[in-house]
Amino acid sequence: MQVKQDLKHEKGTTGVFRKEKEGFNPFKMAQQQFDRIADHLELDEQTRELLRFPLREYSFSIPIHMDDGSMKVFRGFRVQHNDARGPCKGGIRFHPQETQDTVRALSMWMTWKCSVADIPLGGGKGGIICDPHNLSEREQEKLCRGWVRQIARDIGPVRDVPAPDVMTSGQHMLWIMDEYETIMGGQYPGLITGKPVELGGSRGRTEATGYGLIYILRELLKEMKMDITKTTAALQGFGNVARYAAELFIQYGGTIVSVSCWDQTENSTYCYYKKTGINLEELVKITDRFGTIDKKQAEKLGYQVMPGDDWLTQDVDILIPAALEHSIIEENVQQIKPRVKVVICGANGPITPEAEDYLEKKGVVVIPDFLANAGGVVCSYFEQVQSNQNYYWTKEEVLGKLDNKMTDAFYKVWELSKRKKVRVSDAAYMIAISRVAEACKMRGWV
Amino acid sequence: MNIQFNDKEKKIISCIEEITGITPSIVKQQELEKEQHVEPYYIKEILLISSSFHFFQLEEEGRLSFLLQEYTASYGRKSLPKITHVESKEDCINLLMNQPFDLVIIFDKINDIDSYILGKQIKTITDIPIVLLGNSITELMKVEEINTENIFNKIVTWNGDGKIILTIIQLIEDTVNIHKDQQLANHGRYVLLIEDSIQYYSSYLLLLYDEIHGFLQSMLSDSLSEEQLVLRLSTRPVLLHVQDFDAAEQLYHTNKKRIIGIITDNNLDRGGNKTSRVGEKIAQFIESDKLNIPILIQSSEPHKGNLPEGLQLRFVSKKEPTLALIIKDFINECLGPREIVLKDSNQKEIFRIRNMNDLENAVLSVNDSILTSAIDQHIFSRWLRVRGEADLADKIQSIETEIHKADELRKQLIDVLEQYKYAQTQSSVTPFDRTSLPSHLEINRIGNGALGGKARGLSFLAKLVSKYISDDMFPNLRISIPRTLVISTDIFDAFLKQNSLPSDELFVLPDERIALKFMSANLPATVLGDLRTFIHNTRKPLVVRSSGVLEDSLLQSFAGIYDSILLPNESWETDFRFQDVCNAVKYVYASTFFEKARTYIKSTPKNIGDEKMAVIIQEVIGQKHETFFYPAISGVAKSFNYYPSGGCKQEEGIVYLALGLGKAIVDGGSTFGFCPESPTIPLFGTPKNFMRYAQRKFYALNLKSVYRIVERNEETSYSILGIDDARRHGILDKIASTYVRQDDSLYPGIYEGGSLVIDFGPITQYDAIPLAKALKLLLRISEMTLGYPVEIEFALNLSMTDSEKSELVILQIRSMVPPGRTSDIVIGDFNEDTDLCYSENALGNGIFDTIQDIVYVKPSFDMSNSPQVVGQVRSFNLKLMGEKKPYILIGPGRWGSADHWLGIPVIWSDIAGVKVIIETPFKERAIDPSQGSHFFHDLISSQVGYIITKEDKRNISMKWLESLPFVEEMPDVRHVRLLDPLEVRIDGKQGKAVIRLRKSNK
Repeated sequence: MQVKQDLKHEKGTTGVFRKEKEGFNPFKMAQQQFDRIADHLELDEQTRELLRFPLREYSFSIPIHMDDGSMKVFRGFRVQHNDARGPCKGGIRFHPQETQDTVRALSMWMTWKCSVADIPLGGGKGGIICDPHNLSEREQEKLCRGWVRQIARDIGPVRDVPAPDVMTSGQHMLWIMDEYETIMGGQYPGLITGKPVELGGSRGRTEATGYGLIYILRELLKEMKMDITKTTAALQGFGNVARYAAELFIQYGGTIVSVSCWDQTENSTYCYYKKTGINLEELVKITDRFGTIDKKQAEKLGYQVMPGDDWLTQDVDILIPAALEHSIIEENVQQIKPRVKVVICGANGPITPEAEDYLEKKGVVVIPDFLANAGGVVCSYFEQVQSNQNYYWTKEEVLGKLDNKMTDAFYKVWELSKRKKVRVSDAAYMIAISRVAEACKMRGWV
Repeated sequence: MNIQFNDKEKKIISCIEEITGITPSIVKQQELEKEQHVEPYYIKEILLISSSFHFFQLEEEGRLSFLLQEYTASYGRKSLPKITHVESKEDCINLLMNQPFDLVIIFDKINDIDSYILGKQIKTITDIPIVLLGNSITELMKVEEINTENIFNKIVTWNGDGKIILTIIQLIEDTVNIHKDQQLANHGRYVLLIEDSIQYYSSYLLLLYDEIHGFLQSMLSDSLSEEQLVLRLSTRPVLLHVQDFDAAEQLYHTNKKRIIGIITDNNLDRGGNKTSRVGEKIAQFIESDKLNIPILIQSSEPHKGNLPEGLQLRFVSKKEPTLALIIKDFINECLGPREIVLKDSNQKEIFRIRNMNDLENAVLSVNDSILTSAIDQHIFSRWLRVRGEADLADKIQSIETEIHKADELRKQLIDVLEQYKYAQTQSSVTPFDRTSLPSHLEINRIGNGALGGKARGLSFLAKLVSKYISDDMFPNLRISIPRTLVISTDIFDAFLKQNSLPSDELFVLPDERIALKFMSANLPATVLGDLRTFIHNTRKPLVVRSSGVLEDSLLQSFAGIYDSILLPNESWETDFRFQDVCNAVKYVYASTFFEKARTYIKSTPKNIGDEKMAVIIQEVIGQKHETFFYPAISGVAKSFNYYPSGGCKQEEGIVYLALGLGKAIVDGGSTFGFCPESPTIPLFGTPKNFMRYAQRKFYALNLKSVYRIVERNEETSYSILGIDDARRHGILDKIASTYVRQDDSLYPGIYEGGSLVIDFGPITQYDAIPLAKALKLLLRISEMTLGYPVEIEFALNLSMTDSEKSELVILQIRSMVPPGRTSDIVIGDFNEDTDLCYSENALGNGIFDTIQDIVYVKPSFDMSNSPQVVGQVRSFNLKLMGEKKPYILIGPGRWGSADHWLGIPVIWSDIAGVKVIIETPFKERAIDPSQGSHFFHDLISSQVGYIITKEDKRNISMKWLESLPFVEEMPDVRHVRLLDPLEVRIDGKQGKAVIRLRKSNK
């Protein structure tokens, strides 16, 4: 689940984390989700107690000499939720307004995501409280290296494997890796994922999340006896996940009638619609590096430009929210057309539980985010494996394995959902949590 | 079961009876053969005249586009009907005058346009159907009153639901198609609506269309191939509507056998023509015809009098508030069950059967009482029948009638369903399904494009075998095709597009570089998951072959032009095997652009851009012996023999066999030939003569080899084994004979104290395996079905135990170009004065009288030099092809042989411009005609004459050749040119040839 991007930011930091906004606590929500499923699974109290909270939380100070000669102290952190199934996995983010409970919730969701995808990894999350817009490249590098120096003993290829996240990139990962290797005195490409291909990254990573979503959609449509070549979809978003999802969906013969994006200049979102289906290449050509589609060019190419929220009201078979959290909520879910049969979540947390309840009553199948967008973490796992072996696979091998893994994950969830007559997201949680609980039991932790 | 066979089928059946003594029980399938199938009538272009508001309504609220898409999908149409919208009369008329349309739809009350006058005007331009739509019934009724000339085929009210357009389209199409589409006419199920009130029939049409459409969806809910889809669609429910009694009567009488239900108004009043008690009149027809057609009569007036008894007749008042529901229930009863719900004694639902898979699962899992109860009610057969599976329904019905014990029932039902599934999968190419395990031998596909020639050939073979051949025909031999996956041409297109291939620079690169470029690119993501799953489940060696659209389409020969890759597939790691296969597929794609292919395509009417490549991945047929893999026997069978001998006729065909992999045959190595009509007759001298040339070595796949595709180190993949190895592997007992020196005799089988000879004696002499009979049957029925001679490639696995069957697996089928057209080529006896060359051993047919150039191998040539000759010949060929001059090629030994000691080892593209080849004698040895199959195949399909001469005066004179002025000379080969063309005559039927001089040349 992503923290809402608040454009205002504060310089400097006080305390470890900011206080939560009133009313909404993501960690509480994550725990509530967990509790509900734990009830279903009839988990014992000890296991619940173990899984409701992260195993370890680290917070520390990172003193940095800034470019202007001044000294600043930044706060860094890392939360390791559970590593019974394998080393922790999760992103490192830069954000000026990170909250403790958000990070805890995110690390917990990573545990479930890795578990439902059946990869041998646990969940973690962390980062540094800062605003990289206010930092030069050198300062960012120092920050990354400083972070590693504090936490090096508690991360590593067999311990905790970070990755890029909000406002961090492959370059940050390489600095982190480099610093770690200097400290440890060896080559540890398996420390971190999200590296560029030239320096140990996995081929296929760019496409993985988007493709992974479509592999799941493909199998779902087969189960629903819908011919993918005759289905239409509307996408919220036009970033990495949305684009690659659109690409593969179109290759399979489906039609995307609309995409939406944030317009940087107008500070607003727009939806770009074409009844006969978008042409992905032509749209990508008129999109800038921030992900904004040029409105005027799009109109010239025959696209209808509508307010961003209109993506939800398209008369299509499939909705793919692949941008923001909480984009389908109780207040707008009723605008979804009766034709829609599938909502598959490319973004994190795009549907609220109330909206999902409503959709379930309408017979719409909702594929939860942590299953649908697990392609990314699966590919990260592949990167970790390749790095540790120092043996890198072809793209075909990566994508072929990804396809098979996502397909397996889907079928297990689907089968359970049908057998127990529960919704798909519950089935996914049940599988995820029970696997982790089992691992804890086998280790003798509970 | 009364099955109608056409003449061809009757001939095939009697051929099968003659050869096997068994009458085949044929699963009657309606074939989509080109000469039988007529494309149904489809409305493709619709002109819609309405206000923009109405059109907007139709599009938005009426969801017209979406409905059209869905509609297209349901009825198996290839494309959407296209709607052109206009608002004005002028535009309408203009368009109609300049463009073809199939239907005009007019919305009433468009501004100030009088619909009727417009309709009349349209009728002066074109005769296509016109339909009037409107909101106001009163207005529409006014138009109807004046519509005496039938300007409007239909007048319908519209309530905003776009489905009305679909209903209209379907109605009009079906009214035509019940006459045009033979399949629909013979198998469709008709629902007749007789109603004259616009208000009522407009709503009934929508209601009935909805139910029929829903029923159709359930009919098609199995995973069906295109042929199965067409078959099912031919039995679909069809809605027909008439408004007056005369039309109703005619429709009834013409189609009564196909009508499954009638809904009729009891009083009709059309154009002043009143008819009352219509329903009863129709009911009387039904009664006198002794048919069992349900009829629903509705009327605004209460019914008087008695209705005929004993019929499925119902009466309902139009004022009945639940009228729509009653009609809905009625039509659903007529259509039959969409699904089966099995309940236990407490009426609790146990199983719901919606498709064939569900049926199979139900039969396996429900308890005895539920099963027997379903059987007693004939639930299954009824459901199958309305689903369009008449044959299967018949079989199940007989089980339902005859068997009542649960155990036996279950077994029989499963058997029948398995057979059905087997026949379905054998007879068509079905999409690859990861979730179903490979339990049958079947052809699967990945992708939606074309399958290419080889795959079509395989599919044809599969159909042939499943239709005509049953297990009991050859007791210890099973006939099948190899497990095959086809990656269709759209994947090739996507691959090229995604990787920006081919680029211009590609065409100047050598083949290896082209291959590397292709192999460093990536296959489309859409294929990877399925391919990986296929590889994961397949542990046998694989062959990856091309199946080009231009290739081997039974009629054209591209044999051997594109590359095949043989993969041991031995690694325990799925990833290694998967990557090997990906690379192999890409290599095959690359071979489309190799020099060999480019040169070859130039000699055909096609362009390189025309070629689209599908790829076949097949399991190699064979068995594992130690670290080697090979079939006991490989072979090629031809239904026409160009080298008849031993008293066998050309039409009786010939079979060539080799121990081990078929590479031995393809490369022109030593093989054994026999005639399938008379397998015991030796064709190449006595068996003892044959011994000298019998196979001593054979090819096997080395499972431990490391095969690197680009290095083309086939030699590493293939191992050459000897007879002793085969003996040790225990496969020779049906393949070898034993030569006993003391007796100077050859005994079929293995005996101590002699040397083994691979002459397949036990099979040809003792029929140890009914191979000859099976091949004879396959050749004959293939030839009959296709209408021309064929060549079949096959492999045989011998059974290792008595209880197992041996397996004859058919790998490919190709056409042999038909031998000689007519026998108006008269060749008399040898005339020393006029004939330059005369032979009674010639291949090909025709008169070639434009050839002036001769390329010949000099007499000083030594066979050890034959590889060098290839280059010299090739350069002459290139030159002459460039000058567009056909030529005669003369040389000793077997042209095209891979063994350079036996002949010049050219490949076809080295001599692609040749018109006639003369093979001169080379050391006195019996010529075993080169079974360099590809070479000869191309030779035949290029209509090249092949003349074999003997060492006698009829042979072409070297002295004469050497006296001619040469154009160019190389160390071993010379090119000469005559002033006037020679005349070459070849009579393919007689196998005679003569080359004559013109006077000026002598």
